[in-house]
Amino acid sequence: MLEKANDWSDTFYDKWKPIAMGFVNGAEKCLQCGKCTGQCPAAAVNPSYNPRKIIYDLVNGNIKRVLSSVELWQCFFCSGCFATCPVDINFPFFVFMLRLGAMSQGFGWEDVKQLEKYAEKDYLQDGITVSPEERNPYVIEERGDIADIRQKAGMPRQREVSDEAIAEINMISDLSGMTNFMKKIGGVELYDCSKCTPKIEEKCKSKELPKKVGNVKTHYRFYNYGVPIGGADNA
Amino acid sequence: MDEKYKDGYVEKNYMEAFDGSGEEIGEEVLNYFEELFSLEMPLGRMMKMMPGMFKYAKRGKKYRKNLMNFAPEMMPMMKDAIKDAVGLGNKEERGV
Amino acid sequence: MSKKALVIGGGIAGINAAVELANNDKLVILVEKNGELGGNVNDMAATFPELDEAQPLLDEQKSKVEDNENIDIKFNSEVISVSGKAGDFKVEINEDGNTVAEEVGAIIVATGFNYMEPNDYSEYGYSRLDNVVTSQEYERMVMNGDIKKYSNSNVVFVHCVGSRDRVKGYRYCSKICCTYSAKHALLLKQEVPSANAFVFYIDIRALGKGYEEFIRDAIEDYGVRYIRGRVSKVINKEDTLLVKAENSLIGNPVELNADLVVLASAMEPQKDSKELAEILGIETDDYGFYKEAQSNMEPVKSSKEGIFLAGSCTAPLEIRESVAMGKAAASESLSFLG
Repeated sequence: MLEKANDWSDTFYDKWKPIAMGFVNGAEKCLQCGKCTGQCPAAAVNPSYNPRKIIYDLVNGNIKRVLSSVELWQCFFCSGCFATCPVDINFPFFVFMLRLGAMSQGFGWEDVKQLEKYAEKDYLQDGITVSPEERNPYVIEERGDIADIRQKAGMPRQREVSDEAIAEINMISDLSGMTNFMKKIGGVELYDCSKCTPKIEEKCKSKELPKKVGNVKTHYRFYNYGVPIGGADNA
Repeated sequence: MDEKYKDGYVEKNYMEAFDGSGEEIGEEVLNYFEELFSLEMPLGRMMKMMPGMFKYAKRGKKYRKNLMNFAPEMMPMMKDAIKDAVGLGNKEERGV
Repeated sequence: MSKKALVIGGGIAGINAAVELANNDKLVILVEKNGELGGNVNDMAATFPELDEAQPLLDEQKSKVEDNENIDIKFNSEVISVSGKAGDFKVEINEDGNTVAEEVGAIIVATGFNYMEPNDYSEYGYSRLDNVVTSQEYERMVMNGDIKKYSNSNVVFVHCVGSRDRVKGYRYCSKICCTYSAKHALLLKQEVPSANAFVFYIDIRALGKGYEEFIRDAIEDYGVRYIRGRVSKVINKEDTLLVKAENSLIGNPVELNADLVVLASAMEPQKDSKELAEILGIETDDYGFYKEAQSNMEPVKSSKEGIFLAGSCTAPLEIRESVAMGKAAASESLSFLG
């Protein structure tokens, strides 16, 4: 099926700018020079991820391609693109907003689902934002476990947060709607299992994926910006 | 086609994944954003926040006192929300 | 009695304006802030789109001025103040520390441009890494033969350093960099055929007679490789440089080991162009280039009557255009010289 340029939403980007209260702007200045992609660590690992192309689609209103892409979920907010951009486009902010938009259209919930345990256990129960389980093996090898270092320095192995502060965090979570959001994530199911291949099934078994619980469905996403090196299975 | 190559990404493409036209999808997303980033505080939204504050206050006297510190800041917002909800027309449209 | 004319700037535009006036039997005062004529062309190895050696051409131009008795060249001098009106300007010139007062009928401003120092581009490592040079330094390397040591190596040319960049440079396009980078690559291939030339570009802007053919020749006949994408980073890696960019036609990031990186730095207005504009009472644009009276119909008239503009003090220009403007400014100023 060929892409149809008259299916693009001409007004999307212009209408979006005031809603985002000025945090999302400047994309129309993009020269398509590719300086962002050249320095992008995520693009270095997976070349199908490409900030330049996402900006292009956004300005031209090809919102369908952006929202349904796998690539939208490959940014990890290092902000190198923002630092290097010759016209000062804050691309990580675009990614942040577009991910919310993608989720409203039912894409990408499985990626968010993977953060659930950190949000529930580490953030809401213990009140810390860096999980002790989520340690870089390279750092552990080179520098040692941070918990050990803390202990040696005479501190508790894990940062202790007062009950009061944890209660406050929980209230903030309630007030800001995060608790509600978490309930939704609990109900994520993978939608497109009918398209499953033996290879993907294998992967599914080795890596825990969300179970069917509730009512939010997540759609199959596409490699809209090129197939990663080694094929989709390799992503 | 050979079974081996039948990955999702060749079978379907993103244009078939949406129900509406690009314009409609864009509009849907914008409406979602508008609601998400709205600075307005209608009563409905206010009410959604109550259980959180209630839970917090239930923990003890110290917590209630802490919460009361914020009362002066919250009162005008609450007043506005109630005034809006009581005074003005279509309640459904205001999310009440 | 005919009046004298004042030409500010002894670059290629100023030289041509002065010679043209002198040939019309007018007396000309040529004010040059440095100790020699020629301006930025002094740093040039060759011209484009015909690869002629630049220095003999420039020497020919210089001798026309130096041998002309109608032209009074004032080296190491600056204009301090200007008063009066068109046809009757009173000018004070600081010549080697002495103030000289002159009366002139018309003024031609040909102060030229400056190559931007890309010091803000920490990602390219200019002045931090040894083998990262600006195009101006590269031209000198071609002239003194330093380029010869890059046999069997990769040389990367980076377009748009400081141009088309709102954050660290200027919003405008410097116009000539595309073609002069092609010239640099060609010179490399001619001097050192074993070297590989890679040019990173955003768009190729070959806006002149023969420029497009010149660049195509570099690609087709000399095997200069063009990669579309602005270079993101130049880092030091084990004696060589690692250049990171996106090949934006393919859409994938690329890396390239290079031995020399040449930055095509932007042409910017002279640092003191706004001060001179104040002395002369003419208008500049936001960057500091002088404004024409009307951009299409009056390209050499400034906003003040009797003051004319020539060369790249008005916008980034190539030699051919600067020469043409110098001559045009001379002919327009004749009417004020009686």
